[in-house]
Amino acid sequence: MSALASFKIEVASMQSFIVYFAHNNTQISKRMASDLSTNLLTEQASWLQEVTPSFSSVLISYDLHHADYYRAKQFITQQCNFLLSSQIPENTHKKNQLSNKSKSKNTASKTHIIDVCYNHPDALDIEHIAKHANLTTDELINLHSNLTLSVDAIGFAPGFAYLTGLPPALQLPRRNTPRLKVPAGAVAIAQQQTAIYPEESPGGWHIIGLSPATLFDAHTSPYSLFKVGDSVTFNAISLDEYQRQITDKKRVVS
Amino acid sequence: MTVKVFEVIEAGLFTCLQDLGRQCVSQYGVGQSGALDETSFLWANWLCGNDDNSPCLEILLGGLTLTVLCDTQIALTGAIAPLKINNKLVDSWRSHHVKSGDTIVIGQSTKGMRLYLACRHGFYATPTFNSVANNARELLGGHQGDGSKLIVGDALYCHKSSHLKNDSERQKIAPIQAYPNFELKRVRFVRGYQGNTLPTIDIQRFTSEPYRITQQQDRMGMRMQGAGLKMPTTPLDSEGICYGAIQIPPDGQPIIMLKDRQTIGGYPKIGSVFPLDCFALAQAPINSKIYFEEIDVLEAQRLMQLHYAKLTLLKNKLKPD
Repeated sequence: MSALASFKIEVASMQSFIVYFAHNNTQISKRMASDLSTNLLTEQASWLQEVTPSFSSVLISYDLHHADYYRAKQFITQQCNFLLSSQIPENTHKKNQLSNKSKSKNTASKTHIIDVCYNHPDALDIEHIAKHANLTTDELINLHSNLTLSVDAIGFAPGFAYLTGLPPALQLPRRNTPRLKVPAGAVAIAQQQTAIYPEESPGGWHIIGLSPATLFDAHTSPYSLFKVGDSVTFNAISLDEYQRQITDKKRVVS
Repeated sequence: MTVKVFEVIEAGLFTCLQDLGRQCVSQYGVGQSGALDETSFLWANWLCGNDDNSPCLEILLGGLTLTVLCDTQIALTGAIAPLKINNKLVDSWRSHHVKSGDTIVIGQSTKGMRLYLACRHGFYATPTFNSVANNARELLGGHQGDGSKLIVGDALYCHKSSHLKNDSERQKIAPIQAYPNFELKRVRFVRGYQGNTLPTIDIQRFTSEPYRITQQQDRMGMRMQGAGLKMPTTPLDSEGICYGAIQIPPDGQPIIMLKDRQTIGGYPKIGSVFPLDCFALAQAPINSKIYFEEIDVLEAQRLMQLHYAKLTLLKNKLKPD
């Protein structure tokens, strides 16, 4: 019989709470955080101002014109209790209820297959990473493109997702000197995470490849390609294929 | 239907379009943005008869010159700076009618840091996530939709022209109680996040020593400098950062997170600054010395509701000139 998840609700500000989920298996506590976030954002209570899931926590800010400390805390507690009870095997009907609801509203977690060109000239650190991991570049590409990573947080920039799941061999600290410019689409790693830079920006992570995927579009739903709770695997593509996809994208935009 | 209302002759250090910001977007990694001094922003709109959320220009330190391209009504609030219409010095914190061909010159501020300029019916720009609030780092919002600040030669648009055909639409003057607190001495905060596990003695030390507002400040946040605070070194997963959050990085010097802050971060936090004091911080001069003061969350809510009630009362009493 697996242990139940637990939660605690802390004050974060005059008008915010932060919920921390805990479980021996962090996959479960992270799942609860993404589920809570999805439920709250789907319900769209009039007093909700922000819901920020990140790893096993959810920050919730509310509008004081429409709710106060007690009302918000009570609502959040109810939502958390419901989530927790749906984890109990006897309550599979609740779990199904939740999963059907999320499927119908298209809010269920997705698995993404993301194309990456590992032999792009801008994949500046691939040799350094391979050397650190004691692998050939081909072995590194094979390893990285066979991982299933989880989207644990989105932040730093719009659409910038922190993908967790790198094996210890691929865990490097951030670069000593960040680069002033990392190209849009750069797939980069640091410590336990992989990320894809949605736009050109400064960056201190090690660039392993380039992806033609669009990570963020401010004017088209779902806005961010990734959602906290989604899964990602990478698919190696050739430089020609990468160039073709980029050209196609530019053609659509213009 | 939108109308070209101003042409930028001098842009100032950092002038951008703001409103009350974005909501329910942090899950995309998009920040809140919005006016740093919300109260002054609201007053600029009320003086022009606008809705609460009409876009205004947020002007850092002043230095803005505009040519008027169509008749409208304007109001300048926030920091105190000389305001001239056609070379004649006029008052801030009240509305003025301006005609096509007029010149508006806003000089350097002498008190406070941020000014707000409203025009009748509000400025117009294509919204992003239902807001025109500028976010330079995210390349979103603003008058051109890409997070850029105003530069010389830019055109600004408003929703429609405002011809005052007769004198019945008189000008409004804000009461003196509306002005920002330019002499901020204490910054109230609600303890939260990792602050609840801090020993009381650390909080007592934190609130009994002065902190200085450093030059390292912008719309994202404000670095303070003082005795410092030592937080537990257990690494934290990144978590959502709310408005006013007080982050304590490894060097122990607090950073107060403001409207253009990143949505998540892994530094410990001791709680968050009370919103009214966040607005006041945006007007406090660099090198100001303040003391942090802890207040209870319920007390904070009570004070905020009182503030809303007071604002409504003052707004309803707005007398025309």
